[in-house]
Amino acid sequence: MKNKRLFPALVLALVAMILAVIGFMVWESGNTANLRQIHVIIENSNDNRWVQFIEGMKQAAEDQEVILTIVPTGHIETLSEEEAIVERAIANGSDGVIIQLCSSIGAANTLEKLSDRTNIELVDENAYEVMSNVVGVVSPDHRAIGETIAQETAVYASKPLENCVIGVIRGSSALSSMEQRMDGFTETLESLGGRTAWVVECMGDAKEIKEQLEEHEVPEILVALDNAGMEAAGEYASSQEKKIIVIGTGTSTKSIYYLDCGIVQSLVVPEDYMMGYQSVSDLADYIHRNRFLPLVRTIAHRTIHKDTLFAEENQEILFPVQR
Amino acid sequence: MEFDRENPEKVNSGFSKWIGQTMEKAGRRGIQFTVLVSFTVVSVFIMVLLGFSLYQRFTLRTRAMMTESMEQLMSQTEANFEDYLTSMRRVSDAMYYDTIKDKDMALDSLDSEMSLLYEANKDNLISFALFKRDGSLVCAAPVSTMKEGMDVRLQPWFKMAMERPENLHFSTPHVQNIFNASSFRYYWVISLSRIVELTYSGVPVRGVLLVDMNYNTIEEMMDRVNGSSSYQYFYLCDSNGELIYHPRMIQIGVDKYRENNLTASDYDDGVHEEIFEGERRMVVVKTISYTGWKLVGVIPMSGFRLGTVSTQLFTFLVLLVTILALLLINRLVTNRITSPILRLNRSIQNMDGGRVDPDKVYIGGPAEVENLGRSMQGSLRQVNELMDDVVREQEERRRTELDALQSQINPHFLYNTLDSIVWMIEGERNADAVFMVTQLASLFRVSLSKGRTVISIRDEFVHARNYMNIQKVRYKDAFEVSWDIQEEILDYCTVKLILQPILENAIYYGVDALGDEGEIVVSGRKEGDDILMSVRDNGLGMPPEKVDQILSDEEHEERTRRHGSGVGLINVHKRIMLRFGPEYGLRIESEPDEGTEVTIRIPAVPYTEENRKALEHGKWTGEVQDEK
Repeated sequence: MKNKRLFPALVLALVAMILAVIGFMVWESGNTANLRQIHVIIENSNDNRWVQFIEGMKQAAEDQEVILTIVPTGHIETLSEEEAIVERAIANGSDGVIIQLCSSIGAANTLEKLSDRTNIELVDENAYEVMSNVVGVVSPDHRAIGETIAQETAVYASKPLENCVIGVIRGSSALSSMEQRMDGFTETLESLGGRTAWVVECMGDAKEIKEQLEEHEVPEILVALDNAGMEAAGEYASSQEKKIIVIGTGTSTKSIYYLDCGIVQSLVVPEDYMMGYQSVSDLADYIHRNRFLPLVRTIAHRTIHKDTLFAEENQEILFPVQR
Repeated sequence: MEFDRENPEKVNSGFSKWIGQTMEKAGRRGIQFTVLVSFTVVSVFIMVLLGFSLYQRFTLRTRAMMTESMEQLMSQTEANFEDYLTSMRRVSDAMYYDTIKDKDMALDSLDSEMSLLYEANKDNLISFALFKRDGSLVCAAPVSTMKEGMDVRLQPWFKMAMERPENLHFSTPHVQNIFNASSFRYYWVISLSRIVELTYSGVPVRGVLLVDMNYNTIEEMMDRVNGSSSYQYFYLCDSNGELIYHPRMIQIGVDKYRENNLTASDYDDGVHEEIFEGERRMVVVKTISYTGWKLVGVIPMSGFRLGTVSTQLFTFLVLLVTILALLLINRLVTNRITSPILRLNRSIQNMDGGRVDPDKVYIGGPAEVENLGRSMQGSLRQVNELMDDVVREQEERRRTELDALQSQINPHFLYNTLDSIVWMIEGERNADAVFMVTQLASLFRVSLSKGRTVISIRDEFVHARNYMNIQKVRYKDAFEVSWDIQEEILDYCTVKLILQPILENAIYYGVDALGDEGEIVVSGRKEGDDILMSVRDNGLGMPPEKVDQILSDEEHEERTRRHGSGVGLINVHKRIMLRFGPEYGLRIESEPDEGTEVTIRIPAVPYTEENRKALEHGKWTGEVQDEK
């Protein structure tokens, strides 16, 4: 009796296994045909500052076998505008969205709404209040960047810091990342004996920023706390007869050019290539394998001077070969 | 099962035991299971062996094909590279031999020729430049101004040219940094540099001619090659192992990926195997002439095997389908082979439980099974015949035994009666003697009963009366006999001569010693389906232990040994039991000084010819065949 049952059970088990394997193969072929799609929403997507970041993302997309779509954007004014872009990406079948927030204020609510419908990876911003609504965060250590800039300021100051007129161009105060940089810079500068003479919030286009700068006393040291500010600072400094020491952070070729020309003395460069690579890798990893806890990654930054600009170890990061 | 290094014999014996137990279990499961399992195990083993061999063959073949394909691709790429690099050398040569050598730098300008040559090759070039030995710029195209403070003598390409003036030198890729960047753009270049001889007012002066080749051209060529396959990749390094191109160049730059380029640069052209970062892989190397660059193709060994998930799944699927097909085919074959054996087995499986009809033994299937069936059928026939013989012999023996028991009575009785008649004749009691002889003749008539052993109760009582009449004459009416017989029992069957020995005992051991007071009552009645016949006397009686001994075999043997007679009761008892079964026979009830009653219990079988014959031949089944 036992033997009589054994054979049909064995045959049934084999048939079930065959069907399961065929099913899995069909499912897998469907999956291969329908590669997962990741959308990237960054402000001014064609801006030169994103070159390294996008190259990193492209490499990760190739490694992880996902389709990467950089959504063409201009200046994103509000969160609702950004939300609308994400909605369009979701409507286009996005499996995950990489977002650079245009504002941290109210971002938690926006992300909470969106997180139910897609997987969100945050870049360049590490506000704690939004952590629960995202799959992961990849950003530089903004506070450390601010601190490094302050230390570089002390190095390049031609006289004691307390006697220097230090002007600061900062990014939007609506971003917590910018707040962190500002805090890091201010606190370190003050610890070194310096203080800021004035602070300009980098708003609008280059012309508008230049007009804002011209409203203030010409500084001896001009500090830029983001890429746009660095480009504006370089342009401003090159137009001034007085020699201005420019120190700050930036990743665009224009920022690098100002360093190459000697207009900028020290440039703190976040490794945006790694930020792009890790953000896509982590999100694709989540989509494919469904990790559960948000992964927070901090990318490194380098301090580049004119003499180290073309050093072998910096070339690949600063001038990624565009594919 | 873990291998016991200390005691390998223990492991072997354990394994042998396991094999033995498995075989024993398989043996117990039946021929079909054993054959099926054996077939399947052998088939799977052969399949695995075959699969492994094919897999090895497939791997080797794939490896050869992939290597061949890679070598072809690399040869093509190498040719493309050499074309490109040769064209770059020719540009350099053209600039040097056709322009620079013909010009006196103090008098002539090279700008227009250099610009023309740049324009003609600008798809592959980033810039041309001619420097004096002190690093000062003679001319350049398309940008003619160097960065402020730039000292080209510190540039690697300049140093190489100065160190080895006889050669053209190709640098590793780098960002061009000697000219002022236009439109905030920086270019990746490979610098081709050489020593040139400049003429200044007829005086030869050494200089360095720089051709900055567009790195994008090389990158595009390599990207095209790398895009051709997902499981292999190619990279380019110089003779020192410095990477010129790698699909993961930036990741290597930030130490997120490693490549074995330093080792590969030492490889000769050809196919090599290496283990890098724990991965076994095959490396094909081709050296690009003149530059010393190595074009390296890498195939991880997993690419030769069943590397991809889909291939593994497909292999698994084929394996499952094959096992299923094997199981079904084996089942079919097993059924075909074992079915006749199983049918034969089923047809004889009750053989040990009783008679089997030989005609029901399965005859069919393969010749061997058919022969087995026929042999079995023949054997069964023989067994049945032997069994019939045994039954017949047993019956014969029983009848012989019955006859022997009966024959023990006749001489016993005859001796006593003739003894009485002798005494009568001697005492001149002729009338009594005649009566005795008449009674004896009647008694013998019933005794003989034409050789029958089963007679009617009526005849049995006639026989008993004859006997008692003889005995009463002999004992001079010293005891009284009364008869209480129901009329209805007279036409039932009984074994003959069962009352006489009881009456004989009642006389000898009951009333003989009482003088004239002896009394014997013979009764007969029907009780349910049985007939009860009893002989009761008022004699001396017996203690209970004596009663128990009378019908035992030991007592029978003892009496026979002692006297050669007195065996009447036990004989009767055994005869009744042999004829009718153990539930029938005698029952003795006795009280000392009170008397003894012996009761015969037999089944009430109507006296018909059919019943009589059945009882005679021992074929009585216990079922009463009514006369009507």
